[in-house]
Order: sequence, then structure tokens, then C-alpha cells
Amino acid sequence: MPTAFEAAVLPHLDAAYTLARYLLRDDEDARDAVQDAYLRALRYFPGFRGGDARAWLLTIVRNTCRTRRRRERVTARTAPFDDDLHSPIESDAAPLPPAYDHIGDVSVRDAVERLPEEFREVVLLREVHGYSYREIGEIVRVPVGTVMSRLSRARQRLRDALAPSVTPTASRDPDGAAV
Amino acid sequence: MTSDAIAAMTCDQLAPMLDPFLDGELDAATRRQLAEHLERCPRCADRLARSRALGVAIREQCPALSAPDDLRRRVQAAIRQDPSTAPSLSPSVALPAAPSSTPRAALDDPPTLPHPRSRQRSASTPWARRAVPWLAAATVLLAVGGGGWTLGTAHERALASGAARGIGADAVRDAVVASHLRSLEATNHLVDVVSSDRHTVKPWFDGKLDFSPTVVDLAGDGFPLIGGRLDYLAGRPVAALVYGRGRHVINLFVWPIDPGSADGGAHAAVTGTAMRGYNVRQWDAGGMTHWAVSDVAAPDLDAFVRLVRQPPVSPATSAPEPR
Repeated sequence: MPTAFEAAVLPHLDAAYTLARYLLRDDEDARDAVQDAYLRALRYFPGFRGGDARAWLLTIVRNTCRTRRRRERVTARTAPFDDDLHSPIESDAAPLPPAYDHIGDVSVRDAVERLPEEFREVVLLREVHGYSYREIGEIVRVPVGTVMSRLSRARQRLRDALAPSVTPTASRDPDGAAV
Repeated sequence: MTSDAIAAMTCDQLAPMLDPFLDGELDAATRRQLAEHLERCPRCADRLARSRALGVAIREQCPALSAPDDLRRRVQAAIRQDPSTAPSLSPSVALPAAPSSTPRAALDDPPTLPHPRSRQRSASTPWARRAVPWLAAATVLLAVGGGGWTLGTAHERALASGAARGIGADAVRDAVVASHLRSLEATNHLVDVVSSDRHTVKPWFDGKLDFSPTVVDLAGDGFPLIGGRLDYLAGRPVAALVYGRGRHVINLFVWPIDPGSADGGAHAAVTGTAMRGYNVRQWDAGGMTHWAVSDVAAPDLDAFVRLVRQPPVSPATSAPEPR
């Protein structure tokens, strides 16, 4: 007989593992973080008054992952993430990014994993978990406008990072579809 | 900003709105204006297509994962052994409602900015003033919770008329994708009958269609049935079965094969294409033609198609995903 906690939160184990795996980029770390997050969630569960259990759990998973990464980063920068410092200046004259018709030989995943954590998490929550800007804002605890600008910059970075290895296409699919 | 302002903006000024457009984060009026611009402007349409292609590529290469079985066992065991399962907890851990009430103890750093508790779209809030200038215009256009997006109505009209004349599979495919997009435009267009129960959805079509689509329950395989919709494609009423995959939607269109059409009945094998960043699968079976359309990654859609073609013998009993 599953408890209320198990019924509410266990169904989201796949989502929790997915987020941890991409955030930590290491399977063992991800498993440990997920287990840790579930134990934390169990303790906080009496304060959970319904709503989106998956978002609630992912918030805890995300914070657990941050704690773990911070612990590892002994020599890491001490300055907090600054949205303005991390913004590539968008130039009006910037060339159009290439189409991703031939993305096969380019590792989009590598590019995603190399994004700064603050960018990576919003991309994952949007593209993999399908959350709205408002929901991402609640999970990551930043305003909606910040979610939007981080997503925009993250995607720009991905386009930039992927650009050099994208094969120029002579005959481009007019739909720009990734085939 | 009024939506009329969109018409006065340059392509470069509109560029920051393309991602929110794709993400379904623009309000309806802005979305419509931007869609009109996109119909006229190949440069912006191209940018949009590339943005969508990037999204598809990310979803394909960073797919949702399944937790390993041993992790599931580990987590279950850890939960059951934890002493704090006891109902009495210290008051310090009592917290307000989620998700805006995520445990403070789980936060590594205190939030430095006010947390958006309600739907905000005013540019006068402090966080909006912090937004970098080039984003400011787009920020005020945020309609949080606005779902879906729209594109290419002229395109759709042209294709719909073509489909009505019974022209080729490409036109049907385009019409199918257009219908998928239309279904996402507003949630009330997505389904006419909302039910995760195939025994509710299937009879709903009785009397509305001259055929009876097969409706399978794939919730146990991660494709919960959302409902059904009557649609009009290829010059005839068709059944649209709507399935979910996480937050994504799969439209499965079903109608009888037209023996008189040029390509009727010759596609027992599944053919797959991508169009405008959407994956499309087509096959014929049991006298019916099937089209599945979605922005889920190709492997996910292929898994869905396999399940539809060969449904699991006994319905899986695993816990359904509530989303």
C-alpha cells in the first residue's frame, strides 16, 4: 500500500532522474542526487499542499544537484551567476545561424552539456520537461523575464556553438526541418 | 505595447520574439500579428524554422530518460526506511503550498528577487526593469500560460483546398501538419471529447463519422490518451485521436483509405518525414490511413507508432503520469 508521498512523488522518478542526469552529467552522481532529493522531498512533504508534484519534486532535485556541484567545485568561481555578464551581445548585423538540417554529426547534447548550469537548466526544463516560462521561474526561482532572457541566450549559444560543425547545405529544405 | 506595434517593428526587433512564439508564451493578439508577419517575411520564417529545428534537435539528443530499475528500488527502500516517514514532524519543516513554497532548506542561496507568485505581465515590476533592453519589448508581451502558437494560415488554406480536390500525399501531409498546429492553437480546439478512457472516446465518434476508429490505451507506455476530436482533412471528416507525451501532444489522424485516390492503400509500411520541425509518420492498416504528427523526438514518435500498430496485449498497470 503506497503512502500518499509515494503516490504523489514516485511517478516522477523518471523526470527526476532525467533532470539530474543532464545537470550533473554523470550517472552515478545523478543516481545519488535523485535518492538524496527523494529523502529531502519526504521530509518536506508535509508542507506540500497539492499542486504540481512533479514541479515540486524537480525543484528539490535541481537544488540537490546544485549543492552537489558546489561541493565539488572547490576552485570554482566565487562570484554568483550574473545574467548580464553572461549575455552575448546580440548584434543586428549578426549573420543568420545555419539551418540544422545536418545535425547528425554535431552533438547537440555536447553543446547542451557545455552550457553554464544556469542556462542548461532552463533549456532542459523547457525542451525536455516542457515547462512554461512561469513554471520554470518557480522551479529555478527567478522572475519570468529572467527565464526568458536565459533561454534566449542559451539558445543563441547553442546556435553559435553548433554553427562551425554544421555542414553548409547547397539545397536547403525550405521548411528548415531537421530530417 | 499594442499588438499593432508588431506591424511597425523591424525583423531584427521581432527576432527576440520568435523563441517565445514557438514556446507558446505570446498572447493571442501578438501571436496572430507575428504569424501574419511570418507569412509575408521569408527571412523571419527561416529564422523561425531554424529555431524550431534547434528545439527538435535538443529533444532528440537529450531525450527524457527512464530511471534505472535499481535506482527505483534504491529510492523506494530509502523512503521506507527513513525515520521521518513518521507523521510527527517538527513545525520548522511545515511549508506553504508548492511549487512556490519549495523547501527553503533545499535552496542553496536565498532568492534575491521577488518570486513571481502570480501571472505577471507588467513592465513596471522590478524584475522587468532588470531585463536587458532588447528583451524588454518582448517581455511585456509575455502572456504567461497562453498555450500554443499559430502559423501559416494562408499556407493551410491553400493546402486544405488542394486536399479537398484529392491531390497527392504531400498536400495531405501538409494539411495534417496544419491541422496539428491548429489543434494546439487553443486548448479548446485540441479535443472535442476529453477522456483518457478509450471506451469513452471510441463511442463518441459514432454517428459523427461513417467509420469507427480503433482507439488504443497507451497510458502504461507513456502515451496517455487525452481525447478525441472531429477534424476535416483531405476533403472528408476524420477522427483525430490526441495523445500526450509529457507536455507534448501527438495527433493521430485516422480515416478510411480512399480506394479511388492515387496513393490509396499502398502504404502498409510506415513512412516518416519531418516538416517545419514536426515529425510525421504515415501508414495504412485495416483499411484505414493513419497520420501521426508531433514535435516529440523521432524515436518517441516511432515508439508511439509501433504501439498503435501493435498495441500491448494487456494494458500496463504502471502509475499514470498525471501530466
